[in-house]
Amino acid sequence: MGQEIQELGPEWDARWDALAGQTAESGFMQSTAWAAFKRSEGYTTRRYGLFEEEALTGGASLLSYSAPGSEGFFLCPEGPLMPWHDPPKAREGLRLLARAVEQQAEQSGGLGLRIEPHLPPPRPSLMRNWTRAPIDLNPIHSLMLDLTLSDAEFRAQMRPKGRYNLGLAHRHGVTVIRSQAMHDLTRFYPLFEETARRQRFFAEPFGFFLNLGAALFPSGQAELFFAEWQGETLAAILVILFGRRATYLYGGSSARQRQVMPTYALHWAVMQAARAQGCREYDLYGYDPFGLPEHLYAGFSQFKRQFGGRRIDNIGAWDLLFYERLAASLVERLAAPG
Amino acid sequence: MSLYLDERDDGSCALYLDGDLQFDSRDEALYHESLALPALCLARRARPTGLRVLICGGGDGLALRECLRFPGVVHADLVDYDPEVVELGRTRFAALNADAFEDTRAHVHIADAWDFLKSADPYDVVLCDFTVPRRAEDTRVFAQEWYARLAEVLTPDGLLALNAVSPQRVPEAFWCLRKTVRAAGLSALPYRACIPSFRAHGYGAWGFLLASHSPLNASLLHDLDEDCPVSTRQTDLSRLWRGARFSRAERRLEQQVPVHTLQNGCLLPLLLNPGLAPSEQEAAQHPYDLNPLLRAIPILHPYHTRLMVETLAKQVIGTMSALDLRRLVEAVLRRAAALPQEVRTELTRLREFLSLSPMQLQVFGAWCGRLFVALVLLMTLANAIAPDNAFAKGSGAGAGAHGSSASVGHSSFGGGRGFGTGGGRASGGSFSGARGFSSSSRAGGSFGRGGSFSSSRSFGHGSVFSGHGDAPHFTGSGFRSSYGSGHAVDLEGVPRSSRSFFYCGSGGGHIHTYTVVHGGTAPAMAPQTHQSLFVAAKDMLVLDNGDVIITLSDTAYLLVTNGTVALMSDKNPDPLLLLYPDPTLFQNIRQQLEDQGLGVEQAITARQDWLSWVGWTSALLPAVGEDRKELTNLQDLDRRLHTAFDRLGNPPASAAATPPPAADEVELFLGCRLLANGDITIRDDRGEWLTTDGATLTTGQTHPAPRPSPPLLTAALYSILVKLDPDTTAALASDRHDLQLSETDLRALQQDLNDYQLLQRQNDSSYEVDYGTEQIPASDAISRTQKDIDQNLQETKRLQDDITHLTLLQERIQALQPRYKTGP
Repeated sequence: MGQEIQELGPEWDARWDALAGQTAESGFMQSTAWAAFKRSEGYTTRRYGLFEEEALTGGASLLSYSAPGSEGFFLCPEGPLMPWHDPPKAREGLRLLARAVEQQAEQSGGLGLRIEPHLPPPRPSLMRNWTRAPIDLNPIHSLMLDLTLSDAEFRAQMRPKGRYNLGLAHRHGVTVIRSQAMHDLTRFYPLFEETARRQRFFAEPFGFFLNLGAALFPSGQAELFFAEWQGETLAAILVILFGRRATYLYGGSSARQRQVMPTYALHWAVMQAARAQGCREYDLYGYDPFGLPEHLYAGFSQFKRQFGGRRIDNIGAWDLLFYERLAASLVERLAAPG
Repeated sequence: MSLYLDERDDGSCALYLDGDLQFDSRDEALYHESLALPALCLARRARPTGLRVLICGGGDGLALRECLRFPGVVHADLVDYDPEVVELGRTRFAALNADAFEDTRAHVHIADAWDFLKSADPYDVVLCDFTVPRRAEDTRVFAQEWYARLAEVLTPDGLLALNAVSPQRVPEAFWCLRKTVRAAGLSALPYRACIPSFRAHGYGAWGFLLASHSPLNASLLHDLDEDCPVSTRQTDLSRLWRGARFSRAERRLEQQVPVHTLQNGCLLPLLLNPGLAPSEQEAAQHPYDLNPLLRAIPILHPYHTRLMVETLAKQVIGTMSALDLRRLVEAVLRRAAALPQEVRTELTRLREFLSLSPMQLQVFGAWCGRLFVALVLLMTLANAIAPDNAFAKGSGAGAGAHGSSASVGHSSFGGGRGFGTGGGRASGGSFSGARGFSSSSRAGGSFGRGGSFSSSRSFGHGSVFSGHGDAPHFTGSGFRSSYGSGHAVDLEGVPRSSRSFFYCGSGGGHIHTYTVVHGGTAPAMAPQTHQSLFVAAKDMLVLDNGDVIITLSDTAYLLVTNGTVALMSDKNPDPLLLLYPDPTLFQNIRQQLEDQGLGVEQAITARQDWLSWVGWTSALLPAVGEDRKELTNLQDLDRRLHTAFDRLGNPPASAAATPPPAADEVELFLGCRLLANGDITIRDDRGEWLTTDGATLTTGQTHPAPRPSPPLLTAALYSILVKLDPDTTAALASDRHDLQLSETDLRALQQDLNDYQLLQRQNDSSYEVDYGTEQIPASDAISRTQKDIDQNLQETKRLQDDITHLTLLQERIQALQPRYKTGP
């Protein structure tokens, strides 16, 4: 019995989210709410389902963005959902998806399909004709914490210094406040922006967070956590909770009062909340496993390492280029006057 | 469109549309009075009563409030297409807009402004209060055709006032708007005002245009306060004319920009790309000069900055060699009829060439410059188009490459397989070196080499204080509080950990005649402590006295002053040794100081510009006082950077660059090498190489006989070796990981190859097989897999070489540590 692919309308939202949320190779960027957020950011979204014997077995939630005079890629962050454990089936499923997307590209434009499933490297043979993308939307290396452990078991697998700092935060009386209120984004953003400047990464603008909050707060898929001490907010993080996984997506901390270890209390509270919501793992999102001094996550990894956890390696983003579209766009550009 | 209303505890609020601030109730009167009152006052001069007003946009009712409280206004139409905003105007903002929507003179229309104007009566005053466009379709109400239509409904003595854009942050777009209004047959008077909340979001000084059928000039604004029949809440009308003063250079921009029409849609590109970019044509003439090519890539999204796009472009170019060029060229040729003849000819030749040999991107570029440029642009744009790509979280640690110097340290566009596919880890350009090693596959490296610099140079988008940020900034303390507080700060005003340095004299003369190694006359001055004040690069500091420090380890550093370079240790105030004054070192420091100084000067100009006419709002905004403090701090820093520049001095004219180290040597810093036998050699100020094995020192020609190595020198070298150790271990771990992946991949490729060969033998030659998700003839699959295997073997070889080299280095460092660990 072969597989089939078809577009999924909103009536599939719940079933799709249930599947994506429980698929280890996928994640929140495949969720319905994330697509809604991206639409508010100006993306077009499209979702395909892969069926076998009329049962939904996989598929892809795709994003695309258009601007005058330019074609982009169809993006499938944290996807597609494929039967990766069964390579012949996955090859067939991916081929069906690629064909459907290329047909779509003929109508709406698009130079290729970019996928980014959580698969360990190297890339599987069935992606032989795909090329490595210049950008990975998600970290290639990450650190995953196991939320199925009891508190005692979890503490036991932490590094001694991490355990100590966590205890210190609690002894100092750092409190953690949870919030899904839009107005708390104005409290979160200055800390995030300050950290971005300190750590030298490009910070998403405030409007991005407004759109994110508007799309994800109501469904409980995103939540803010603030660490407070003696009336002062010292650190904040924005966590995504989707299916089996919680993800530490954004964070920021003040340069003040670091000695009370607010970030330890913060992540501890997130883990408790995530576990209560049924998450089985907590992704610390971005990690340098080697200790490279110039690594993008060098500054954060030292901290993250204290929580123990398991290192995750991903294949990163891969492109299937639509050569006919690429050629057509090139000709258009070259033939233009001037 | 997303709408967010930020309601604060103090009762104030701020409205955001699509993340852009529309108004903040604490200073909205500044904006709305500045927009509405000049037009109303001037219109009233010609027609004291019976004024008919049209407001386009402005659904919040705040501009409407200004019109309705103005004597003589008998009718006001407000047309806005967004019912949500208008609803807020009726409800939440009713107190703010003084119940403007309840006024019988007010007529609200939820409609597209273009549609509304299809049939409209004449107006004495028209206010355009549209949001700043973020998408192409938003620019329809900024086009020449739109202003021409407004000109038709404007009475002969009528006034048009429009919310423009920031002349400070997007000057090309601002002057394009003025030119566009004039092209519609109206005269146009530009002016600007400072809105504190706008500025806090990084929007810069705010621009307006006043337009009419009769000539307008700035002198009309002089007596505005006397003319105005209503009192203002926040705007000082007597000073508004000052905002209409623009420099000749600013005005000249208008000649260089096009008129925005519905057809050419040039406004959005100008808004997103301040600073006119060179054209694609210019770039095509020099396909290998990346700079014009990078500048030709337009910014497509308000979230992005030029640095982001250029970083991305470099990464895209780095991965383009994976393109199947033959397939692409064939697909292009199938559409060749549309192409210019010369491009067609080149492509045909290229196809013939490709049928004979595998394609290199470089060859492609050389043969087909224009096509190459077009391809780079196309692929970069395709990658840049999605706003999220600028904030990609990839770690930059993909197989075989670990980030480019362009992206290291701050990167976004994180996939990070940067430009220059030579592979290898760009060390990110550290001044103190030693991370570069001397392996040919490793770019960057020791201070002064390879043209790579610390991240702050490329990062410095400077938006925090220059007001050129693309993102709303909730600016932190910046230079207001961090500077001079005992911390060293960087160009962003971010405090960094401070370090103090204790040494004898500096600058001013050749004081360092005494060194630990060579002895000499003891210095005449007592040593002094100097604090690091400014972090110019990751390991380059400027001290409070203007001396430049290159940090080498926790205790060792280079002091660069007055044309001399001294190797110093925290443990002793006297130089250990004067080093050879390599001109490359001085040149790179000077370049770095210049870059940083430029950033500071831009910040100063922006602050002065701001403060020159913000003074009268200081009662509203205590932060203005902070701005003055920040300006003072910046000016102080600027002076010190100039001092640093002066104190740096020049090496003797006879000094020549030090040749690169041999293959089996490791450069610890410029002029200091770890030799294969474990000795360390240093070039002194006379150009002689001193060699130490930790215990003894051989001093070149002058003192050929070995003598005991000064323990302080040995200790300093030890500290550098200790610092090198974990870096080498990390590089090894990363390379070993990559090698393991590469080997696994190779086994899979060889398995595929075997399968294809078997299938080919069992079937005829045209038999199609699965190659990834494609189905292609077995023979093609075999040749492509073979190509993949060849590439894999090259990569494996490179990794193996690197690992061999690094292992040796690690062994050498570890074996050496006991030998050098003899100092105090």
